[in-house]
Amino acid sequence: MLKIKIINRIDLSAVENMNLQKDLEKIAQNIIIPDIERGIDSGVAIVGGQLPHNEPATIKRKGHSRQLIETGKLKSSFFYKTSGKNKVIISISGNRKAIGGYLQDGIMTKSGSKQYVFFGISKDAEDGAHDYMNKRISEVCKNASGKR
Amino acid sequence: MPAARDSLADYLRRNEMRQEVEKEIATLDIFLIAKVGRTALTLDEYVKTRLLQGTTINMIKKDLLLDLETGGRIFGEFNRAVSATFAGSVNRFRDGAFDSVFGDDVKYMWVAVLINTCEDCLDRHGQIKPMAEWEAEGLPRTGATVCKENCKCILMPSEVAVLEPIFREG
Repeated sequence: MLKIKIINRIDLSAVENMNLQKDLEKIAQNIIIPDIERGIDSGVAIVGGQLPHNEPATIKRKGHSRQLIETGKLKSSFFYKTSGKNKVIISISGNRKAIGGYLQDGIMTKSGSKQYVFFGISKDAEDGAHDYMNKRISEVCKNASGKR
Repeated sequence: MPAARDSLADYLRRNEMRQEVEKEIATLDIFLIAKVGRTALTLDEYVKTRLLQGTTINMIKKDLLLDLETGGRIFGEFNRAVSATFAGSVNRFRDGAFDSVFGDDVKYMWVAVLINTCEDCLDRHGQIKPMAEWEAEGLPRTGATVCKENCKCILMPSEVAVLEPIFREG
């Protein structure tokens, strides 16, 4: 009863933004990180378009032409951590962060400079986050109306 | 989102790659930060409160979806946080969000690729300084080093930087 009285006094016109910590974590874990991994699997840059082709010597060494995939460590190194209220950081663990940094920033090869932009938020991931929140709103409203 | 046939160089040329964007690309950290007040409600609390105040569930849902779509006062920060790299990374670093995560005392290590590296970058390689000092001295590719815009060095938070031989792909 006391809780209801307090809630009823909240001026909702003054409410700005929402505590979405759990939602940001789910978006990081279920949308953004899998999207980055899918981009590597399909050879698509985070900003769209194909990743640059590997050099012939690299393809020969690896035995295949798939960009950014050799030992599999980079693809399995993405993680997220919470950092206070409404803050989530998505990053890369271990020395793959340094290696990924060079690849993302651009490397000089025999056939010129190549930039492998594999890490970030794609338009697909942005749309996915919006779809997630859209469904969350519908779900919360449905549950709330069911409990009345 | 660039068209599928765009090269990254074309896309960047059109969009005038900003320093904030470079930071997101170079540091390889995505900050999902939706700034929020101390008294911010969760979505469930917000809906329950409005129901208790007499608003119909259909109206609440309509308001929330509209706010999400238009980036209003409730979901504006959320929209900024999840917007795509390039357009979004500028926002994510705005308002000192970067410092609010790591604190002002975070230091960055200058990391050189060590292949055809200029003498200025070799000298900086491994040095650790706060971002403000690096900005004063000159960030990579800003013309502060002999290699100027051809610089391939990156600045990484010193707590995650690892200096060891670099394999080109993996």
